[in-house]
Amino acid sequence: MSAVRRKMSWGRVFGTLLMYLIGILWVLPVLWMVSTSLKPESMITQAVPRWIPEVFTLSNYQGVLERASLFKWLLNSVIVAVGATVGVLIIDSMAGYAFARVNFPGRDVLFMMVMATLMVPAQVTMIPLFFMLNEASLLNTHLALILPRLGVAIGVFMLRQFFLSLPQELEEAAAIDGASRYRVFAQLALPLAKPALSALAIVTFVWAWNDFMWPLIAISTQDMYTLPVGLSTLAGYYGREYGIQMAGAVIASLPVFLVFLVFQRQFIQGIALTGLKG
Amino acid sequence: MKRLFVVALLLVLVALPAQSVSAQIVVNFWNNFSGGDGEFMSAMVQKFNETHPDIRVEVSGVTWDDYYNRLLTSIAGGIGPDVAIMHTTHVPAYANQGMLLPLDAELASRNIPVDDYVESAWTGLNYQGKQYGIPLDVHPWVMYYNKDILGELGLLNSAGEFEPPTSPEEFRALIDTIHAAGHYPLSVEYVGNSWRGWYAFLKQAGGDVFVGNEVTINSPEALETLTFWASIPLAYPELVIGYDESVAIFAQGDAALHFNGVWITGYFEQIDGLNFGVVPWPTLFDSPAGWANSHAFVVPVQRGGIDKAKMDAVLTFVNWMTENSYMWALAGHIPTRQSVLESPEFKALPYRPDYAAQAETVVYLPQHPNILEIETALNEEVQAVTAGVKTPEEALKTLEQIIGGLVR
Amino acid sequence: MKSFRFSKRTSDAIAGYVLLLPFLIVLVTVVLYPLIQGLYMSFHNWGIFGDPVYVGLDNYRQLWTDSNFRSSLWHTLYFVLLTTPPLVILGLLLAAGLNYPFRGRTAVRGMIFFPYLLTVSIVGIVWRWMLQRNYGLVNYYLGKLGAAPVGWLAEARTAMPSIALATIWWTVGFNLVVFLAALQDIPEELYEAARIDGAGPVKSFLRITVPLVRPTTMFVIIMQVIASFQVFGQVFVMTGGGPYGSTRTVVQYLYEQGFRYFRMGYASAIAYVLFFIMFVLTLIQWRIMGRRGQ
Repeated sequence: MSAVRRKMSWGRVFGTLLMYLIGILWVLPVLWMVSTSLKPESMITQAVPRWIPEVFTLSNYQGVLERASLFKWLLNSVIVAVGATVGVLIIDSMAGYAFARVNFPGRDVLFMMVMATLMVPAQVTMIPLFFMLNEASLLNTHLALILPRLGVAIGVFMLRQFFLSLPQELEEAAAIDGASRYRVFAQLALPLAKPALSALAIVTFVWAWNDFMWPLIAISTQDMYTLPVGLSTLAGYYGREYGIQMAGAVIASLPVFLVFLVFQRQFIQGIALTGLKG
Repeated sequence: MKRLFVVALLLVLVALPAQSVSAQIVVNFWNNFSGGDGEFMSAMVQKFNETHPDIRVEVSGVTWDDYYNRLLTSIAGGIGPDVAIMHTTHVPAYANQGMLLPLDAELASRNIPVDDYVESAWTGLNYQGKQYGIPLDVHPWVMYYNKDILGELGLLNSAGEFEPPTSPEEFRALIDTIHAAGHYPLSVEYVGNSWRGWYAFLKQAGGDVFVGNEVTINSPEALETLTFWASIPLAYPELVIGYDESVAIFAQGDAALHFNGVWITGYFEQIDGLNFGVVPWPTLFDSPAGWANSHAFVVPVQRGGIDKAKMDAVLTFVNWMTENSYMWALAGHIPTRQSVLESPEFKALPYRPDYAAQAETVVYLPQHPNILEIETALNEEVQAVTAGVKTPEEALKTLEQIIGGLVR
Repeated sequence: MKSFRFSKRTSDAIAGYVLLLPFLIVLVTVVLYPLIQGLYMSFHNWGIFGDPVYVGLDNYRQLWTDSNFRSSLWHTLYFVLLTTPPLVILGLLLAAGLNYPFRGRTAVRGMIFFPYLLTVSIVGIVWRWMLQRNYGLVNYYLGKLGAAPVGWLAEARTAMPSIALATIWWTVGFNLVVFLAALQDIPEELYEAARIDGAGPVKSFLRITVPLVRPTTMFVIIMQVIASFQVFGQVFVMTGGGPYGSTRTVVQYLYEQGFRYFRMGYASAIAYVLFFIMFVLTLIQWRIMGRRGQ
């Protein structure tokens, strides 16, 4: 018995060390990105790479902030991501609740149709959307970037699942007391849905924030770029200037990193919830 | 730069009160110049703004990769710039889609000195009988050479200049000689747009990609020239590098020869200790020809149209820019105004008058709305051949199929 | 049998519609209408301005013989095959590794997951820099190990694998988290029993863990395949489809046809073919998930 246990603990030690190694390995690209951003341009392409810069400089950060509208891009990303998240939370919770609790004709058919849209890859609707928004003079606006995200049905599915899992007694009691369906939704069901809502919020925010192809298509002026698209233009503009590219990347990752440090648990729970329910 | 901006700003502020009658017209100008080119262009625009207080040209630079995508989206939305830079090769596609304004009437009514422009550059922007742009420059591919390395090998003439070879065998022998002597013979972006070099030789040998609706690329001339073009990278695989690296190697003084566009002249001039010369694209086959493209000013179609005052401002701006394209020549490009080409200041510039003469014999890709896709196909197939992944026969066959479908 | 109901059945039904309406309106506007419009466009030659020209099934016929389209499909399939097994297997293994408590577990989990939150351009920029042939970090360490420098993104042979490598680093965190949640549902007693029977960690992993997470594994695989088929961002930023088109994927081909060459009708046809492929894959997923009683 003790022999087995000893074998176990050596295995455990090895396993733990392995996990540490993997964790470090995973973080290396990010560290390299930061390290490169702090080196003067002339020292970046060296035959022998150094992790700790021999000479520290902030000139790359200066350069990228002077030449690129990084803060504007950041603001655009924030507006779009927040707008999309708020919009999704509102309309998806309403729809999810309706599907879960309310009996109305055509409910099941409508739900099937909504679920079917999950199969539609985003690219199929991009070109027609481009023309539609163009007609409505909405191209190159924040709305153009927010609207398509509101049509993603996964939130409706998640919230319906969640509401279905709630016990009906509370709602029944409220109904008997004469509360309208709307009140029950807003004042009873919704507050109880916090876990599902926060999971949906996190996932929606991250997906909206990182959206690349649609902003690439829908935005035409530099000042309206979101961060992902803006950063990719940085790579083309300063093809040989890796320091500036890395500085831009660091600045762009900083907000995400800080939020992640604080909300790691929530992020992970949110992703897991989507994964399990999906 | 900053001081210049402040001075310009002060000038404008001083000039403004004097303009009690006419308001300043703002002209939105898009271009895709970056790095050295970008700085020269900005300087020119600044000078224009200083000397024309009633017009303010605002520049928006978009990176090379993204430029045409942005232009497309904004023009499609009717919110395009007032005037934009466009490559001549792109004009047919955009004009075909109705995205550019034909300028014939506008030019005629304003006495723009059309005859002063180099003819091939001007007519290159004429598509289906309408004039869609005004050329700013011609930028051909030329051959740069390192005087120190070639001098060491005894390959320079008595005037210390290099006389390029005149046949493919001579050229290959030259490369072999330089390589045997331990030098990097030729830096060119084989992982990149090297198809331009081959295209020049194809035209020299009398071939072409397509004529009218007929695809002519799978021809004996094409096979001969492509086989020649690929023979060097196949013999010396270490030469297969990308654009940035090809420039860097020559700039560091390590490469004997370098194929590139004239736009890099300004960059090489700034490098201390780089002793280089430039010759026009070598004629190795029957008749002289070198690849070139050119930048032009175009006027996109806008929602609601452009009013006369704005068009006046735009054409004043364009006319001034080409008139003063001596400043643009400093970046290395060839101006398109005869008056500039014949001016003493231009003639006094190093290198540029040498290859400016080439402006007569440069060849552009034939005009076609699908030319961009054809260019991509040429680019990819030639890269595959120089990387040793495809034989010239296979590549030409693929090109015949693809281009045939595009020009039908 | 008290069947409670709100004021009146009809007004409750109305409430249902009202609650549903905002989402439904958005869905019709940004999904359903464009979906149908896209199909309509695919039957036309459709430029930016000017009138579209009806061409029937010509676009689809042309796609059938389009060698560039076919090669983009191959490239995409290659990418899917390069990324799916590692992402699924690695996700599960890492989750198993993180499934027992040890000091710093949360930190390690965070380190592996964090890249998922980065935007695709950052991933592309950083990896492009690391995979540079001459000054890249990876080739430097390869050299130290005695290996020859690899061409990575500059050579057709290694370009797609390079992109796959970056993608794996970027997104394995998502699978890790999903698997971790699934693993935590497995009762500890099963492992106890196995330990008592003398099973080592490998055996209990293969005999207990793998079979029990099968539904999640199926889900992850299908999600992975579907997402990989739509790959665009990383390829666009890291190689732009090169060298010489060898990494061009279906979505990039769609993007180029539509937004570089103005062939909106043709691009719509490509989109629909992609849709068809996704449709088939999703049906397979639902069939498998349904069978597992999920």
